[in-house]
Amino acid sequence: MSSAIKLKRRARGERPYFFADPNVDKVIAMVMGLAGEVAVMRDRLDTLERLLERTGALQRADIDAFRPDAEVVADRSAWREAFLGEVLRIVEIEVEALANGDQDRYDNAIALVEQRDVTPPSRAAGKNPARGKKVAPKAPARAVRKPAASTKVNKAPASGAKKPATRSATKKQAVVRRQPKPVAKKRARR
Amino acid sequence: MAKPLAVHAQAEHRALPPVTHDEFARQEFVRAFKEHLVKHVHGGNRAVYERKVKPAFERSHKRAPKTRFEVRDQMVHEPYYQMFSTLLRTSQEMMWSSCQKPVERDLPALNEVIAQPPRKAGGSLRLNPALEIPRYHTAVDIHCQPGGYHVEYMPGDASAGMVYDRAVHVYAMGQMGPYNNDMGASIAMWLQRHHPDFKPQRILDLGCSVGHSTLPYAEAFPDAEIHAIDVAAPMLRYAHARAEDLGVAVHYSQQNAEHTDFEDGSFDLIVSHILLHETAERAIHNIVRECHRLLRKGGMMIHAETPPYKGMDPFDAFLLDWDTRNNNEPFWARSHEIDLKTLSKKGGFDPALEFEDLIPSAFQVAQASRSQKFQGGDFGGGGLWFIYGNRK
Repeated sequence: MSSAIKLKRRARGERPYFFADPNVDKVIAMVMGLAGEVAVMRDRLDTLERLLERTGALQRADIDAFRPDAEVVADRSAWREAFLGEVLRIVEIEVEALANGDQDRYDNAIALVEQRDVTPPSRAAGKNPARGKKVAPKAPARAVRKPAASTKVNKAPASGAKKPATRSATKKQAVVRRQPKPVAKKRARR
Repeated sequence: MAKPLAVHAQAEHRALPPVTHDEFARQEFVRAFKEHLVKHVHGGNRAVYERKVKPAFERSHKRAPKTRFEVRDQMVHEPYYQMFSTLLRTSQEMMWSSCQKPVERDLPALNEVIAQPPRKAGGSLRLNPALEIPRYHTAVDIHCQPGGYHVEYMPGDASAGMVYDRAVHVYAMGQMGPYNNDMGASIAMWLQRHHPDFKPQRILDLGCSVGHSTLPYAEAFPDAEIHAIDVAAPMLRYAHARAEDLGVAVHYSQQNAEHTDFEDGSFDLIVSHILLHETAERAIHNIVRECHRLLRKGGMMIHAETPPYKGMDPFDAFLLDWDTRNNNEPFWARSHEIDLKTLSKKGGFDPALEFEDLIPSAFQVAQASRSQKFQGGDFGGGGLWFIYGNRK
């Protein structure tokens, strides 16, 4: 049904942000967008109930009078738990990382993969050339909080791992990334 | 529709793009969101100002803030004002989005309806593809309508008009009546009351967009020939189809109000509705001069706007000025400060005949639910319209 034509979504002109951190404005826009869709869904449900009532398939009073039995309660509880698990996933991963001992800085993974053969490498097969050595990687300007020069690379590469069951630099989703501190710049307000 | 419309419902006509259940619900949410801001959030700004910002200013400056700029410099740091502003801006963006979706859904089919209006009322449409869209219109998309009034997505496109007609109704929260026609209807009513002998034979509406303010003049002056111009073709295509379907003969043409191709002295009444603030310093003078050229002796020009800032409490002016900075209305502030007598004089009119008035809304049903204030984000909430004009 949808025509191929897409209307412009953005009005030409710089968008004003009102809070010191524009992300606050953005989160509010997301919340209101979500609220709008909840209202749309609520209207749809209301329509559904009214139509069903009109055809005699349902009395709206029956909905209010509905008392879930144990099975329904259990079903709904299970659904709610799964739902909250998805929504609040972000809260859990930090604790999971702690439990797994996965506390290495992400910079270490960067340093590891950016390691160049500047020091005489021990080319023995299966041995990590950088292991036990101090590395001075080119500090990625992005994510470094502490001087990278003192960073110790103590992680085994995924392939020749001694403890394959534990940490792996490729498991990016399990790494708590440390972002640089947000710069609380005051934006010039128009 | 069989059932009577709610006070705040928009009247249907065949140019208006149909909406699905959810699309309508989405627009209704935006209207409710905006109403909530007007009724429950807007006023808090004054409380914050009176109880917090103003006393602090008085302590440090030994006087109250004198200008809207001084008020603004303080208010922009207030979390309450920041929250209000971000919500109001968001409501504006959601409004356009909610009105675009039904149009985007099947634009070619909707444009076919526009190209062949189901009814004929005897009006006409004259487009000029060579017309240059003025820079003040293309620099930013006015009041944040994506693509502005002029962008076309296919030949014969009227999408900007389709989006706009719905959006105006949501924007004004229905306070301008089921046909969004309150500005034109109020001026027509004012003319009949204050100038009962004035019977214009030819009427021109400048910057008419979808013609929502144009049509009431036909009802008030059934013998008059009515013309309306705009720079944007998509608006005019829509306006033409809309007027035809509503049974009103209007002659629409694509022209810039600064310089039209009408003959000298060819109109008795020239009107505009919230047009002037969408233009620019030079343009506004050109438009008044063009009005003077086009009017017959004894003819009248009337421009509807929100009230000038002059003499307004600095806090009220600050709030009314919200759109200048935050809703892509760059000329709003300056246009509200232009001395209207001087404007008349420069345009060739006699400044002694210049008139300004706050006139009552013709859509009185909405009066009880209006805020009865002039404030950003509450269009039509004042229950009064400011008019400025002159006679030749």
